[in-house]
Amino acid sequence: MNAMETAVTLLDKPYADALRKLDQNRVEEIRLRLGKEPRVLIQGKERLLSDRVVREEDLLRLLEAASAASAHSAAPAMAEGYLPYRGLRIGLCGTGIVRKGEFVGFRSCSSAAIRIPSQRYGLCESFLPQLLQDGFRSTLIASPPGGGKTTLLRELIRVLSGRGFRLGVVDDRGELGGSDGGRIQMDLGEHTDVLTGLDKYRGALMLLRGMNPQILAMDEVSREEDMRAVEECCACGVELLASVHASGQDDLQRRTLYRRMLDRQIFSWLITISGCGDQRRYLLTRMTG
Amino acid sequence: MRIWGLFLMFAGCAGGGIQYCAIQKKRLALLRHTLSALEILEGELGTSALPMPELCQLLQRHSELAVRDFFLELTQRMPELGRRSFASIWRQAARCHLAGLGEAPMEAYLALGEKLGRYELEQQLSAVRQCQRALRRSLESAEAAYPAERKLGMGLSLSLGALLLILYL
Repeated sequence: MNAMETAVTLLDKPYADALRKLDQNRVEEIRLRLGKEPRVLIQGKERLLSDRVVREEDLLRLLEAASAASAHSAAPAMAEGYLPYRGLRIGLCGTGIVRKGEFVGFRSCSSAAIRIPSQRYGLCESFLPQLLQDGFRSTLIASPPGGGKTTLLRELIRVLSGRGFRLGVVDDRGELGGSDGGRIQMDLGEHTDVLTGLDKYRGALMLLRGMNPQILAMDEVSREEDMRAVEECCACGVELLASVHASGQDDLQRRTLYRRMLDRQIFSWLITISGCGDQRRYLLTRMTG
Repeated sequence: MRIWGLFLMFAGCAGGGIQYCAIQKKRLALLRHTLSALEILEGELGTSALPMPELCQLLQRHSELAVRDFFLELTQRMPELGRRSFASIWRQAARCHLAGLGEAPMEAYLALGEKLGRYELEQQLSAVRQCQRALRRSLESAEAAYPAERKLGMGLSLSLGALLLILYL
């Protein structure tokens, strides 16, 4: 079952039928907002999916299916702002419940965004020769949210793997590989080992100890703990391939966490993504400390 | 031939009484097994917050008779989530396998299905406890009534058999 088919199983029949009529390869997100018509994100723009407004029941059923009727065990994932579901990522909004300082679930759900992972071949052809001119050096991908970091990262992993590099991927959300019950659905190449379900720090250490990777890849380095994983790996003789939320090197300088990364000169290359949909542009630059 | 017919008539009446007692006994066993399953459910939810599919599998392994079939069906129908709510899957499986619980316990059991998996842990645990209380009340009253009901059931059926014997002899 591909990602779109998986998404269809989460939706009520009228929405599922409307979704099937669309060009499924172009749908990036499905957005459900309580009391409003559902929309799909295509080429960076939201378009109407159906005239029928989203009911509370639709959101509850989505939440129930995505959490396998286990809101209690999905709370830690929901506290991160999303629910991973068979390779999809479901962002949620609503009224949160906090007990003893910890998020324990949503009292009510007001909107959901189902992100559809996609595999796009040939994204890195324009800059690949320059990127590999001295062999592969640690590379950071930066773009604002929804800019296509994960899709580019996925393609880079596949291409590097195809060039014979041995890659270890810490896929904590199961989104890079589109993990469904332990099976990797996306094409990440022949020489790629994927570790799912563990946080970046523990996952990276496990891959380093057990799988002897030449390149370690991880998506969305955004917390102190993720940073620890990056710092740990760069001192172990492996190259890194990672992504961050930022529009460019100036943005990176503004965040304390990323400034530390720049100061230590962990990454040699920066790929910034601009534009949206088919108009995305990839700019490869040398990182400066 | 007539004697043989009368004997069969008497045996039929006695069999009816035995059947009545067996149904009552089966209901008691079902209530006990359901309560045991709810205890495991409460414990596992409270301590390890197991996801529902794993919880159903575990309960299926540790339950008996109809309760095991109930959790088996629940496990098998989990992939229907999204198209159907968990409460409706729970309802269907309960009506199919646990109909023998009786009206009031069944009502409490169906109400539990509306809360499980959907709300935060504390609310789910309180729903489990509420259901346990309802089932325990039913079990206690059924256990208390069982000796008298058994006597009544057997007494009535044997009396009917004896009456028929007297009438036809």
